Amino acid sequence: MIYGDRIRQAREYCGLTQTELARKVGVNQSAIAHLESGRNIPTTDLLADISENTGFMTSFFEKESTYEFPLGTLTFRARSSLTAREINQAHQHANVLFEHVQKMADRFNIPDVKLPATNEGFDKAAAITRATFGIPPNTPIKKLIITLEKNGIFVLALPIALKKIDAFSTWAEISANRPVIAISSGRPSDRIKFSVAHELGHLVMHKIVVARVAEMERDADKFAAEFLLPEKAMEYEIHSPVTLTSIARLKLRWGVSMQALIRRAKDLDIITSRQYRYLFEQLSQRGWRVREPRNLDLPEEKPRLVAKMIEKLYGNSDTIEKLAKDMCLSSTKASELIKEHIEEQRIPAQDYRVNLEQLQAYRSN
Amino acid sequence: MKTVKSEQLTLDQIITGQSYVPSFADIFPKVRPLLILVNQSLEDAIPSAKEFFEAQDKSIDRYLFPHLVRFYVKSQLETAGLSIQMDEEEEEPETNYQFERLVNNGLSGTYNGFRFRVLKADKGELPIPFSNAKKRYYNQQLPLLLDMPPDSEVVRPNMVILWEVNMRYDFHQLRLACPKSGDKTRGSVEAYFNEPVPHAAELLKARESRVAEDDLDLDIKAIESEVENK
Repeated sequence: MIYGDRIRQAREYCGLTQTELARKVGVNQSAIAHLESGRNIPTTDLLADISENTGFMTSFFEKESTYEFPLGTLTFRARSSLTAREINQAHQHANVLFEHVQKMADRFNIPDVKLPATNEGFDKAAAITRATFGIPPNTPIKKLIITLEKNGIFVLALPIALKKIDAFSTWAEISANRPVIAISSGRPSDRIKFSVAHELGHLVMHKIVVARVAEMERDADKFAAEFLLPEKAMEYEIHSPVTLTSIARLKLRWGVSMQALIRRAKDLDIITSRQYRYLFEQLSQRGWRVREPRNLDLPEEKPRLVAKMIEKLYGNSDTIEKLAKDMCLSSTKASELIKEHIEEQRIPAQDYRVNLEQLQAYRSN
Repeated sequence: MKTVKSEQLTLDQIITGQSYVPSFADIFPKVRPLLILVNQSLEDAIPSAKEFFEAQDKSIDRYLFPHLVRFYVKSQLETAGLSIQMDEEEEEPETNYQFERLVNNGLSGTYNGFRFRVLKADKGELPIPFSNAKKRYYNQQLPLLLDMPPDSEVVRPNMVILWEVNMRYDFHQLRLACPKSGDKTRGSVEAYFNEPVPHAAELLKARESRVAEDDLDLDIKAIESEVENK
């Protein structure tokens, strides 16, 4: 049995349109459309071609898709900066990764989900969330991702860099009881931290969509600001003279970008609009709006839960081959998909292609 | 004549005629905390000086502006003397520096054995020294040996911290200069070096290790024997 939605999933994962995939495998677009809708079944050769061109093993297409990972906050962004293709690609990366992570998680005692749900406003929500996680009020949060993982939130690091979007979140599993945050690659740690806190705000405050998207986004931003930089602490820490140097010191202490700190100081009326403009002009003049000084870079924080499960289940020596087989992916695709989770040196250097022997065996059958 | 690479020139070396060529690479690390302090003071002093004119709805007076900056810098430096003591990032205790104000002539002081002046740059260069005191300073005239404390073994060159603003009178950068000579003409002013200094925010160092901490306390337990069997 070949499942059409798996073909669609593989195509979208690769960021291909039906026409582009059709061209690669030598058929027309409608043939792909028919395969995806289940009206036609691919020949062995065609399936092998699709497998080769997408990097998904043929066994992937034989595996029933029992659960589709929800789009979550990605749906918000669909209206602004992302194309449908980009959304689908990000979604399918999260989908394929989550499917296997979930399978691995079934074999472990994963920390219970400890996440409040509240609609009492961003400031209370932030304070409640801190208390739930056992983070003292008014202190810097050094390691946000691991804190979330310890509280049962899955954090997936995707190997793709989404335009203008650092992260998205959703409630997954069939009963929607697993909070998941997916982060896009290639962003500085301070930015990732704020984005993860923003998504946490959505998970805490917007499990049920109750407001307009722009309003929810604003609330999530305010939640992130209050969660990472509590008002009382900021009133004590940001004092005159507020300069780029004093802000840089605060960045090292609080682990958020200089821009976020300046914005926070303005929102809390610690600095005037004039000072705010001046500081941002100074950032711009030095090119720090695009890239803040490297000496202030924060230690990179990667999700550890997935890496730990992979390590325990697959060990270190032959991680990729066994993992790829279980994920029904080529070794190349599997290593690409998990590369943000495991240390670079643990990914074999060889260029793993689709297993040709397996493919030939499949064809001969 | 033998050339000494370090900025440390001992009395013995002075007597025996050994010369010393100061270099930015040698001196910069030794005055780094001072540069951070001056940079931060200027970051606040320059907009404050601009505000003085804006409050009166007047355009900036290019002669008065640097004097106002000096005034604000002085008070900032005095205040910052306390903050530097509290800042664990800085290597030097506050007792290493002291400031005195010279009338219409910038700020001067000592830091870590260096005499220094804070002056507004003249298009990135050392300003022309009009006073005799400044000329002597530029020419690195040594103090009388008899004036030196008995336990003094080191003579360090006079330094100048130059500050620059851009066309909009916003803080642009600091420069660290070591004057070599100077008289009443532009051509007479020479420096051993005159180098731009990175912004203070780029000179800060993180206190904690850059290496991510181990996360072994993230405890997940296998619940099936197949995990062990892999």
